[in-house]
Amino acid sequence: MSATRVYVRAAGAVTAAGTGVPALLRAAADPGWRPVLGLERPDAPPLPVAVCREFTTKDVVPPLLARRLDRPSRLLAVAAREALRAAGEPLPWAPERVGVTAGTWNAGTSALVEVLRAVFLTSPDEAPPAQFPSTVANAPASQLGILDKLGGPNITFAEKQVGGLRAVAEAARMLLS
Amino acid sequence: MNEVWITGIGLVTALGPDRETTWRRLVAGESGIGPVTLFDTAGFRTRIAAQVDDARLVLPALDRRALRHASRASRFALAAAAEALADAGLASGPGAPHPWALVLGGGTAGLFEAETFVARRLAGGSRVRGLTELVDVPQDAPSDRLGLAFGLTGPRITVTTACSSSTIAVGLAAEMVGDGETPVALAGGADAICRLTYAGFNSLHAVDREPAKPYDSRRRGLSLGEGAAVLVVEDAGHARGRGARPYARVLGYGATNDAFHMTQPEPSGAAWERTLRAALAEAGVEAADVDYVNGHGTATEQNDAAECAAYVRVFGGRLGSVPVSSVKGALGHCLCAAGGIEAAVTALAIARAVLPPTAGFAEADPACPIDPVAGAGRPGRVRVAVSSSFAFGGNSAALVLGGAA
Repeated sequence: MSATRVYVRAAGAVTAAGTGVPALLRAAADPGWRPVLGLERPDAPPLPVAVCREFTTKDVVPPLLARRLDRPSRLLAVAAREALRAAGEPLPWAPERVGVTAGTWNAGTSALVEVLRAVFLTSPDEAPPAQFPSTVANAPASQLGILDKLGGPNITFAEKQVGGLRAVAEAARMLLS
Repeated sequence: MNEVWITGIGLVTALGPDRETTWRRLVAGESGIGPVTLFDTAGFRTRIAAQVDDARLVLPALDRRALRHASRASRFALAAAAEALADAGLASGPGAPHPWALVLGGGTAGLFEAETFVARRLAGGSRVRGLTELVDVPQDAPSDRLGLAFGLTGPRITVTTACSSSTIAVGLAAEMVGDGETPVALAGGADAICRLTYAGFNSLHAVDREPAKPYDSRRRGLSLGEGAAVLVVEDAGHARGRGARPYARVLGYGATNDAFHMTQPEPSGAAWERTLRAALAEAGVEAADVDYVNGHGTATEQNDAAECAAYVRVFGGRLGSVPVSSVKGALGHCLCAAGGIEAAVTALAIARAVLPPTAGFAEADPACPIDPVAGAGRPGRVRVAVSSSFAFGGNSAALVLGGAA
C-alpha cells in the first residue's frame, strides 16, 4: 500500500564536524566553526578539502565486519546505524522491507586505483579480487544492505553534488508511488 | 496510474550499431563475442569479449559540445538515444528543449579513456596531468551528454546498481511516466569494456576462456560485453495522441536487495524469488500469466544455478514450459547496460512474436529445468514477459512487460 505523506523520522550523519547529528548541529550553530582541511595523498601534497579526520567505526560496526568495508561503506554504515537506532530498537519494520537509497560522486575510486595499480605495475592477473567488489559505486549501499539485512530496493544515484538529495527524493517517491 | 508504453528503441551492441542489425543477427543465433582489440590482453585469463565496432557507430549531427572528448560509452549512449528518438518519431535537439525525463544506468562511463591517464600517472608520478581523458569519468557523464545533445530539460537521473542499473532505470522511468510526472522519459544505459572490469572479473575467475554458454551444463563463466540501449518510455495517452505505435507496455517492476553477499548470489533462489514476486505484484499479474523470461543468464556456475532456483520457486512445475533465454551468449555481459539492452530485446520479442535464442546453449543443465530457447529465434506470442537482472551487491530487479494491443 502506498503512503500519502512521507516523514523524515530519524537521521544520522558523518561529517567533517564529527560523527553524529549532534556534532553537525553544533558546528552549524557555531559561526566560528571551520573544518580541518587536508586530504593526505601518497605522492603529492595534501588537498585542501574538509575531511572526516576523527572518523571511526568503533562501537558501531564490529571490527571484523568493518575490515571488509572500504571507507565510503564505513562512512555510510555509521551514519545509517545512527539513523536506524534513532528510528527505534528493535527496528519497527521488518528488515526485508526496508530499502536503501544513496547518492555518491566517487565511491569506489580508491579500490579502482588499487586494481589498476596491479594491472599496470604488476600483472593483469594480479588484480586483487578482494578489492574489485568495492570498485562499484553501489558498494556502500549494498554493504549496508548486507550488514543490516535490509532487503528492500537498494539504489545508488550518481549525480555529482546532487546525488545525496536525489537519494532522499527518490526514497520519498518510492514510498508515495 | 497511467498506462506506460515503450514507443522507441535504440541499440548499440557487438552484433551491430543499431536496433535492426542487432535483432536480425540475434534471432539468427549469431554471437558478437570475439577477440578483444581495445587493449592488450596479455596476462589476462581470457582474451575475448563482445566488443562494439566503433567504426560502424552511427552518430547523427549533434551539438559539438555533446561530442567533444566523448568517451566510447557516451558515444554508444548518444547513438542509441538518437535511434530511439527517431524510432519513436519524436523530434529533439538542442534548439528544441523538451521537459522529458532521462533515466540512465551509469556504468564505467569514461573509465577506459581515463585508464590511459592512470597508467601515465603511475609511471610518471604526481606531475603528470590529465584533462581530456578524465572529462567523462563521472558515471553520469553519458546522461549529461544526452541532455545536452537532445535538449532534455526534465529530471535527469543516473542509477548505479552494477548489473541491474539500467533495469532499475527503465523501471523508475516507467513509474515517473505512470505517475504523470512526465509524458516521456528516455531510459536505458550504456557501458564500455575497460581494463578494470576485465581484470576484475578475471580476478574473480568469473570469465570463460570460450564464449559464454548461459544455462548450459558446460558453462564456465561469463563473457564481458559492452553497448547501449535507450528506450522511449511514454504515457499511452500521449503516444496515442500523436499516433505513435508501441512495442510493448511496461506493466511493472520490482527491486530488492539480497542482503547476502557482495558477489555471491543467495544460492537457494529465495532472494531472487522475492525480486520476481515484487515485480509480478507491481504488474498485477500472476506467475502463470508469464509467457517468456528474458533471464539474467550470465553463464557463471553460481549465478545461473541461483537464478534457476528462483524460477523453480516462482513457476513451480510449469517452468519446463516457460521459454527462457539469455542474450549474454551473443552480446556478452554488458554490465550496467545489460538490463536496458535486455528490456529492449524483450519489448522487440513481444512486438514481433519471436523469442530470441541463447547463443552457445547446447546441453541442458538438469538443475535448470527451463524451456531453453536454443539455436535461432522461436516464433511465439508473448502476452506477458519478465526481464530479470541480478547484480553485484545483491541489487536485483525485474521488469514485467506486456503486449500493448
